[in-house]
Amino acid sequence: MTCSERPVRILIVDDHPVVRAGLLTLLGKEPRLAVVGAAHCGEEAISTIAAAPVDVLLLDLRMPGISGIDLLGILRRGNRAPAVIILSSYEYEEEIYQAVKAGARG
Amino acid sequence: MTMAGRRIAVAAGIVLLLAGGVAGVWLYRTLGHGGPLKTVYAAFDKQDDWKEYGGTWQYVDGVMRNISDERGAKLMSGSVGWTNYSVEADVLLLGQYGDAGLILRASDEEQGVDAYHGYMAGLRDLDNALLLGRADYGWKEYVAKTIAPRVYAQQWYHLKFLAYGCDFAVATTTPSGETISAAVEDPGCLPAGRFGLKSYNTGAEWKNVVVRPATAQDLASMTGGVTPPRAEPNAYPLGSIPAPYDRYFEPLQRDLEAHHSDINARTIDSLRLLPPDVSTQVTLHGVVTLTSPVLYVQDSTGGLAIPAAHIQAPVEIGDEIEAHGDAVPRDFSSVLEHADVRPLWSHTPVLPVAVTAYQASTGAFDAEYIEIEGVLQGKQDEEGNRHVLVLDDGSQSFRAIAVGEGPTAHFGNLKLRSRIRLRGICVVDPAYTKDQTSFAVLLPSLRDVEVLAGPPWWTTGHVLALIIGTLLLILSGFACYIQIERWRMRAVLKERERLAHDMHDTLAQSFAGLGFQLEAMQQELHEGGEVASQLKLARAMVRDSHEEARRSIAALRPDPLESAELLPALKSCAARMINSNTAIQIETVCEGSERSIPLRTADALLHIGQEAITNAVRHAHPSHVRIMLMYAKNSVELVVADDGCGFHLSSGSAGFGTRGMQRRAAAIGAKLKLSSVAGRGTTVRVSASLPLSFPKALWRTVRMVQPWKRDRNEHDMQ
Amino acid sequence: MEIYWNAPMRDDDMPSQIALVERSVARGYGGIVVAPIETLPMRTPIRRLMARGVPVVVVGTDLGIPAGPGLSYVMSDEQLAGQMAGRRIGTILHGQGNVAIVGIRPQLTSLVERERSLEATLVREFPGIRVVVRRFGLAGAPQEQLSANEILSGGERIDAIAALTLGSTRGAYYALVATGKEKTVKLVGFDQDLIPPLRTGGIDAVVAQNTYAMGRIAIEKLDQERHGIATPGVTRVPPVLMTQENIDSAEIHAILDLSWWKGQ
Repeated sequence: MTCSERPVRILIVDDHPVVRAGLLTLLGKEPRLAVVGAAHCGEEAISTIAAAPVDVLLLDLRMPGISGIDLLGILRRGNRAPAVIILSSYEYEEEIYQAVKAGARG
Repeated sequence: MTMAGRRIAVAAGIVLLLAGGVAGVWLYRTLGHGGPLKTVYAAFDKQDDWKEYGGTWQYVDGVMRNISDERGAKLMSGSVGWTNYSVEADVLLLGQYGDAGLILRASDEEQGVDAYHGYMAGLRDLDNALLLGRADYGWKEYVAKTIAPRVYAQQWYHLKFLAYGCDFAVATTTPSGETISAAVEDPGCLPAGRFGLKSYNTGAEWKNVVVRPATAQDLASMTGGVTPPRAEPNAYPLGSIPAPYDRYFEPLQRDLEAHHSDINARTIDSLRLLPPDVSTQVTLHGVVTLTSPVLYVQDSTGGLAIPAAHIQAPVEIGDEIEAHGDAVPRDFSSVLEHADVRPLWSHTPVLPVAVTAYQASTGAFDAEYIEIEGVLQGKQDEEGNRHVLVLDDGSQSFRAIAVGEGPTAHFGNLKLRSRIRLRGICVVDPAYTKDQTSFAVLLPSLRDVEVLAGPPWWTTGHVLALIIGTLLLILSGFACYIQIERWRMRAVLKERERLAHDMHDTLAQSFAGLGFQLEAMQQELHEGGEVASQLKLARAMVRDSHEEARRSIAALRPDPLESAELLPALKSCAARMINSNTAIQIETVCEGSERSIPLRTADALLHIGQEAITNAVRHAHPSHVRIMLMYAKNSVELVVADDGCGFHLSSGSAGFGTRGMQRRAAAIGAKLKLSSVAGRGTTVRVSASLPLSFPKALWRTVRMVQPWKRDRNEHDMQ
Repeated sequence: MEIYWNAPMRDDDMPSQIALVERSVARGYGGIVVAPIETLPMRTPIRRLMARGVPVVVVGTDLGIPAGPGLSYVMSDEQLAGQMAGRRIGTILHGQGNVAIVGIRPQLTSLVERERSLEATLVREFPGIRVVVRRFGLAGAPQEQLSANEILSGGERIDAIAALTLGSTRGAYYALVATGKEKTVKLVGFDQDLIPPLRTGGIDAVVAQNTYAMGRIAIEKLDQERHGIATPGVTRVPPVLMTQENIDSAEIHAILDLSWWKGQ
């Protein structure tokens, strides 16, 4: 992990409001982390990333509209792709494999 | 031509064609199958070509014979469209008081006296005349030319009858070679019609019937070139017959003699008491009741057989005859030997007496015409072209015999054990009973057998088939039920998968979010203090709930479980559960011969097992978890045992997990047993019965449905 | 008016006659004249005809169905017939002798009437005449011949035979010839059939039904019925006594002139 003065910019992408609120509160405590925003769907995530740079994406796999895997694919094609960490209640190997293949870091 | 005009023309053409076709078919049919007339040698053996109107017609050795003396027997053939033709035949009169001959140009024939429109020519031995006349449902006699010395019965005469235009000519050649002819012209004649044979008041025979088209020359050769006189119906005012009258008495005399019968005829009954070993010459009268194999006759006192009778003229059943011969008394009836038989008159049939088999077996009805019922026990054919039926009625068995080459389809169709009524001559002669039964019935024909009731339906075969059919029905019903259950199961599992998704979206994520919030709160607070410990508890509770939810979701597998995967599934579940905690050892054991477990049972066992494993891993901190699947003859048992810390059963800590296990066990009728020893370990045992066969499964389903049984199941589980 | 004529081919074939009647109805004829062979079996077929609205004229016997619209009767006056025969017998036997009555047939009510009238006349007007033998009428002439033969060869002396039907008249005549008693036993018969014996005296007399008049009246009634004119229900036509003496008279001629008769 590189030490830098700038806090890590995090974008939370999850369709569930409680999760977003919880993560927001939890991560907000950490001084080195800065939650840039909380998107509730893939499209909003894309528009947020386009508006402002984001370092890390906390991504839920199962979302209505563009799924997490698809979003990964879209982001990778762009430049300045953030690092992606998957949040999910599911632990199917197949999904994990797909996510890793798509470029998730964890 | 315009388009519309062309269309109309085509339509008109089609209509005309159709009309022409229909008219052509109609013409062909009304004119009959004759078509154009050509020389035809009448073939009597083609039944379809001939139509009977009265009379009893037989075809024997090339001769067509009518043996009935009714007034107006006709046998018609040919076509309604035939106009100029001649009919030629040899004719023989059987009786002495009527006439017989040929018909031509006939139409609208019916049964009855002179019931046709047409012309008839023939011979009448009543007044020794050659006849020619016209019938229009009445009779107009145009010619009655005397043939000298007489017209003989039983002798062949050649007859030719011709129609050309409205001229009609007839010619006959007597046995002595003499030819007599006559001709008339009938203005307003019938132009066309069929030909046929006709007789009145006497039987007759015809042979060598030839039909030829006629020309003017043919007519001339018959009339000798003389123009035929105009036809005038002979008026026969009854009274004014000229003297001498003798010639009118001759036919009366002949008629009288023909029907003369011996007044010394004896009753048949009286013959039984004649001296036994002496043959006595007798004359008797009786009505014929059977003609083959032996002639049987009956009068109002009884019946008797006339074997080897010398019969003057053919007799049939219903004819009254006079017989003269040697009477030989037998036990129950007499026999007339060396007999001469002469028919007197016909159409006086004997009515049968309805008797029971017992009554017939006493011999009281020997040689008489009876009607009797019985149940058919056997059928066989015996030598001499005999078809034999063996019947039963009460305490008596009897045989029924029909002789003849008639069609045996009727015989073959009789089914054993059907109830049959038959009419025939009752005989006790051992030649027919073969000493097997007390009497036999001689049937005039196989058509005198009437089936009253078919064989009873309830035979062994049918009952067996019914039982098997019912069983098959039940089995297929049950198979359907099983299949429906399977589908329901799958539908339930599909629903669960859907639920899983829903739950994930809402529940699990909520827990996650809550967890984050609580963690954030905890970070704010320092360790120690009541709030901190409460927060910690809250976090633990959220984690637990999250776990539980996650497990439930994970457990909602979309694929239906195959029973063979039960143990591996439980093992992988355990493996996932312990995950990083490699200190716990998982052991799986399979005992007994592995069998296919019904879907519901496997599913329930899986969930119960998962729950048990989870409890063990999470609460008991065991070092060793054993999962055992034991197959027995009628059941399968799943045991999850751990060596952890155990828990108190009674301490209300029957959480959702335990209640869930109980519920699932109850749903499949399995016995759940939880046993735990503090500090030593916990064992969860669930024993489910396996169906051996469909009937047992059916029985189990019935048991599951019954509520009192269910209570017992619940009591089994603690 | 178009007339269709037919009859069963045997004198005693009642089922065929019924079948003929039913067949004719099916052809849609406007009316039916029927002379039943037997009384009772003809009742139902006639009732059915009437139910279908077909006018019927019954010739020769009273069926027991009352005459009315659609049904009328033309009968020979059997009362008179029996009387005639009885008186003739009484006259030729000069009031004394034994009589045999043959041909009794309950199957036709008119014949029963005939017989009753005959016997009543004998009893009333000729007490010296005894009826010593009675025989039922049989199916055909040959049977009648046999039956009469037995009577003539039996024990009782017979002076005259009264034969109530056509068949029994012929049978009795044949039996007389066969036994040679033609000249010695008188025969009075009913219903014209054999003519030559009348001329020679073999048959003394025949009570003949005026069949010509009956036929004509029947057709007239049918015509009236069809035109809706009321007709008397029962018409009785007096019979005629035929003997050697009057056989060539005009009255008899009118009855016997039948161009289609077979001539005897």
